[in-house]
Amino acid sequence: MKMDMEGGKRALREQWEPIVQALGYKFTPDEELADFCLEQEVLLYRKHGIPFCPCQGLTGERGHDMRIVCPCIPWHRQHFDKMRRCWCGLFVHQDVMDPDSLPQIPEGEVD
Amino acid sequence: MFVRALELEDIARGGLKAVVVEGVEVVLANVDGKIYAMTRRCGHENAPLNFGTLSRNIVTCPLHFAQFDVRTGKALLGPARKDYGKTAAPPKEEAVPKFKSMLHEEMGTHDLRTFKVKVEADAIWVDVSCSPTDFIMGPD
Repeated sequence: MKMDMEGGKRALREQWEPIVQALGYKFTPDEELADFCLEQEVLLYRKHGIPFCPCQGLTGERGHDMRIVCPCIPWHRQHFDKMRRCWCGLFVHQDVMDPDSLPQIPEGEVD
Repeated sequence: MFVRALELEDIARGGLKAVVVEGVEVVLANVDGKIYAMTRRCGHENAPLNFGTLSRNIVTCPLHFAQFDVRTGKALLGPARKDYGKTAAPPKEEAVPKFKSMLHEEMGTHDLRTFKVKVEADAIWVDVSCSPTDFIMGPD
């Protein structure tokens, strides 16, 4: 049997879990959002061979594009720590139980 | 029928090892002390998976980076495509005939056949006679 979308989502989730955990983050408890983001990541992986952030545009400039490979937390640490979530909301701080209460703050507005 | 395939001490945690069991090429994977067995050939283009990498329960093929769950043989992701986004592809890449890409699409990536495993007397025993649809697991 050929691979399917569910298998792809499972692979990304299982590989990213220990990485984001070490960074102080976890998958959002909003399962619907997590599932949607992972689906977009699988589609991006199939297209590019790299799971880029589904919420940010590729520019074609490698230096920029490699900073939005998921999980991109290390490259946007100050920004994401301020929001207690990543830009898409796929990952949130480990103590976050209510992800809907977390606002998106533009990068330029972070001190 | 179970056949003695390898000494347990010969495969480290997180390791992959190729063995031949009754003429069948098999890869053994040690996932946190549990042993799983699957066919050695990738479900995409037959590359030898023992040269790949094992991350928890996911094996990644060394050739095009297709990924499989070693517990079930399920194809999960891949192969990774070459995509240059908005950057122009190198001339050599542009010369690759389009039908080759189409063939890759048609080939797909298929699940791996997995085999029954047991650990007994400090050795790993594998049964390659089970059907391809058998799911199998390492010893508890």
